[in-house]
Amino acid sequence: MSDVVLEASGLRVYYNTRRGPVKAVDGVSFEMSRGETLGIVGETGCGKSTLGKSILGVLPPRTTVSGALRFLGKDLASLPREELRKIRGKEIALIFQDPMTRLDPLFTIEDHFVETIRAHEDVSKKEAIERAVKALASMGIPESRLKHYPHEFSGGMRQRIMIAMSLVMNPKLLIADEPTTSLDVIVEAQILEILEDLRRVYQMSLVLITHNLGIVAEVCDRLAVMYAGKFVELGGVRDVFRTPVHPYTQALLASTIHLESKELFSIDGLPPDLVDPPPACRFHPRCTYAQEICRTEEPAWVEYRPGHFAACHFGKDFL
Amino acid sequence: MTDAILEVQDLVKHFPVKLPGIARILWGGNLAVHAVDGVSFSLRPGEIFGLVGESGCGKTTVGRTVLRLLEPTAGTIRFEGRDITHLKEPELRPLRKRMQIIFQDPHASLNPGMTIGQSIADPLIIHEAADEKEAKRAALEIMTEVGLSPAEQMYRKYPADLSGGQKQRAVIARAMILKPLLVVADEPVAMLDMSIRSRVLELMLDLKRRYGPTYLFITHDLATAKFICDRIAIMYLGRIVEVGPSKAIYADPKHPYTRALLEAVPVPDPTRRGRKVLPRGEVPDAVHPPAGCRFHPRCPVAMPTCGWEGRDFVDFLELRWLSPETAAAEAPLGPVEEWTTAGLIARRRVRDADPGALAGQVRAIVADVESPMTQAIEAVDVEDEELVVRFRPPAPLAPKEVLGRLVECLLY
Repeated sequence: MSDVVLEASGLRVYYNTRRGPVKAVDGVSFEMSRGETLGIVGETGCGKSTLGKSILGVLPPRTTVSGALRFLGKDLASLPREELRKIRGKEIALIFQDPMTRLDPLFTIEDHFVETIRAHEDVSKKEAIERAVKALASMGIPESRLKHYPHEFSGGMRQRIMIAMSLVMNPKLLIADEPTTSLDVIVEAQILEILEDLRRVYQMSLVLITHNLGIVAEVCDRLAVMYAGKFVELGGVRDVFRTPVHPYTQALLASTIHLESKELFSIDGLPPDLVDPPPACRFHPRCTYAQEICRTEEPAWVEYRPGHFAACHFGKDFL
Repeated sequence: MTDAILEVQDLVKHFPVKLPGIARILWGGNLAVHAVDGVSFSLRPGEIFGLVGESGCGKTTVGRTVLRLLEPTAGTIRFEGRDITHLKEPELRPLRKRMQIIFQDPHASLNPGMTIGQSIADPLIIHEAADEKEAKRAALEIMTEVGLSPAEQMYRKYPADLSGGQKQRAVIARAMILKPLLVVADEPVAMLDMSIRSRVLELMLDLKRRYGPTYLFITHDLATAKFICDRIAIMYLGRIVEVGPSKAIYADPKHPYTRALLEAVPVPDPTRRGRKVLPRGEVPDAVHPPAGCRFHPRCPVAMPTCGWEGRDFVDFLELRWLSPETAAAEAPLGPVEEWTTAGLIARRRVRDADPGALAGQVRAIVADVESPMTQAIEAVDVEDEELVVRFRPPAPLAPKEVLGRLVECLLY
């Protein structure tokens, strides 16, 4: 692939705590190309949000990051702070789950836009406002609301403002961390359509972090399933949904309650403590197929079909 | 129906909005959030009745009001045939034993200073239904039933030691220990990971088989409701728009809002992607709910009689002017801040413009844009130096029986 936007190899993010390092991301590798949407799914605490934050470089202090993360060929870890600041927010943008906590209640929407734009580009306030008006109009928000404060908007509007704000800079990569989780189903569908349109029009790459497999099925090209800090499966959305190779992926798919569910299914046990995760295959304590080898040997990352990877000793059996 | 466990009639719950003195004078009195605005339904013994809707539709308020955790503004609530709408707390207390609630957030529902066992046994002690020894025995028993085992060991644990799923089991155990007749479950699985939601739902079904309580199941998730509910009511902005057997409603939704909700649910099948027909915008403010059918401003199949009013016209102009060209061409009519609305009327001060020309421009737009909203406009006139857009009053709206369910929509 010549059009690689983002490349992670052996990425590790450990939070240092009194109990020892929390291995939130523990050896993750993948590539993303231009205009692609990659979904990252997993249960609470599997490390998916940490992965998103590490791409943007917004991790808390006392965090150890190792491995490589390349954006358009540049190694983000070795870039000087100034360079990184230029990329962050301009070329890589992030949309959070709860827009209310990301908008400053004391500033108007106009202030937010002007500050964001002028942090990255040397333009006049007037020009910044013009761009804000255009970006907001594309999200269906009229100019008359520019002077309003965040609390005067509904949840869906705030999320559209956040999207508009990350888009004024025309980023190449957008990371959306549960962008619709706090929204209702109709507004969620509206926001997903907006993201889909943007990607088509601007050829933007999108990392969509979510726990909702329905959303992944609707908007993503590829899907990575994360468990206890590691990818257990990665592949095209159609391939993974049709032939899930890893038992964890199978279980996640089965436990999703949707309008056509015929029976209820849940995964036994709990996700492990990331300070002291189980040895070898981390899913083995909850896996119905687990054998001795799963407790002793770490499964290899195997390409079962072109572009469809999984890490399971018995992956072949599920093809 | 006399055999209903719970019967709710024309329930209204308004929350006053406290305004500073000046605003109160300007608005001519205090405002209220119309959280629940005339809701009727009844629960048959042993059924699971779902109250489904988006956030802010009033479903949680209904759940709390029927248990008298909130005071109803109007309407009646009958529990086992007895009117409890105005019962005083001492008279309610013995009834509370038979009605319980499960809240959404298990982390906030358990006292962090009490052990799990104490929390679960507590209702028995509060209602003086058992002494401490008996209460403990009953708690251990129900803990085993809800899967908090080994019960002896779990009894001594504190909420902080439990996972979200375990906490919700404890909350369910605490609600069930009194063997209640009615359980209001308010989004009991919304805070849980997808991977364990099913288990909590199964537990609720299992307990129902065993003790036969009636559930009022409140949720925003249509898929969950489909799985668990016998009948459902779809709520929108304080009203029930459709109510009937789940099977019928899911197979063939009749209200345009029900259809929109079902359409919006993501399908976990990448081979069936497609553009959805979604309602415009978002749920409006419940302080000033729309006239007529409250869904009309967003409804894809709205008609001229559905309740169009002055502010719908101003919203229309605002949306129209998102396009800079149109905004420039229609600049004499703007900006939207110049418009005021009251009920069926939208008006704009003319100032020094030619009133006839402005009225002509509005008439041209109205004639040009064919929509239920423009068709509902009765007249565009100039009155006392003001440009006035006047709407026809909406057709009266009442729930109608359609194929085994009640639907509140003028289509039927």
